[in-house]
Amino acid sequence: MLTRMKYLILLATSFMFVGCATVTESGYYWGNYSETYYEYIKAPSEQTVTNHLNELNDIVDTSKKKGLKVPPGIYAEIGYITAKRGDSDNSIAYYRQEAELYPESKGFIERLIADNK
Amino acid sequence: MRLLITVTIALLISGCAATTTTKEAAFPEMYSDVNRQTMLIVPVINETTAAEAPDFLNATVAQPLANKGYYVLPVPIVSNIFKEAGIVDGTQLKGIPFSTYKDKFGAESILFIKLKTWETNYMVISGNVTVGMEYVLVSADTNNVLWSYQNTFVLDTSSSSGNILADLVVTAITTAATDYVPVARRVHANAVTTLPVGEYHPKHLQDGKDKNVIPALATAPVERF
Repeated sequence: MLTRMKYLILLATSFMFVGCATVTESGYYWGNYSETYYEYIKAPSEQTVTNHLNELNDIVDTSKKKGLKVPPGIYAEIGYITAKRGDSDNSIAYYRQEAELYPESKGFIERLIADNK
Repeated sequence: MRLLITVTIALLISGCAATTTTKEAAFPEMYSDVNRQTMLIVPVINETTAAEAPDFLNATVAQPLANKGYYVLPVPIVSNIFKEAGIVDGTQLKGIPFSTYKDKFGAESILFIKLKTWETNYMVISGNVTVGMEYVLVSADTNNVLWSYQNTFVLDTSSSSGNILADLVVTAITTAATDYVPVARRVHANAVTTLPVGEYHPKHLQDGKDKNVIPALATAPVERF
């Protein structure tokens, strides 16, 4: 009886996790993307941009861990922030990852890379 | 929770107040071979005095559209490019040929968002915001409207812990600031239910028979942009 109870609790808990799963209908994980981006728009600073960058990197890591495709724009955004910080080699690597994952972004990405130089 | 109930009631009311048509009947070009997958979201056209509202909308707009299966050109980068060109409000884009967005951004479709109403009300233990929006997605190839939708509704911004005193304090704080991020997210989520899904969505080209479009809300003329 006890084991059955435990089983039920386990089942209920797993349903709860499914209920609040953060993976969307097209299979993306976004973390707290809107929140950190909003904080950045509201008060652009080294701190808010770093927080947003950390969130973007976390979205990449978590997506990989869960076997999900990284959402559109995430690699490009990391590349853009990296470029703004003067690290153009790394930024190009991120841009290329975006274009590889989403070939329709190629024209836009090539423009960003050209603007970098 | 209250937010959910409000939205549900709003959906229920709109559900029985008007007759609906299918997505395919309302937006035939979304089921044709016109390119639309790569979407550019341009700065919000703000017709209200709520200067902060476009920020909430911008911060939350990419997710619902990407979740509907589209490639959304990265909003923070795009809005920076516009900003560097001196464009902070969509009104400034009036008259620019849609093909320009294809040349400059590689966009196949362009989404204009017009904010018509954003009214916040603070009450003693509750708060709400009335939002009126219009979304118009146009084709960079054909210049036609691919999808458009108008929406007006009231969203509850009060939190509810069951403890009135605690709620009083929380409402005063949250209604004032970041609580609008989830509000804006819900505004977009509500609107995109009528949007035919894109290539990355499992139901791509299979949702044409979904019957949830109110025709009167789906007819925005392209001339205004």
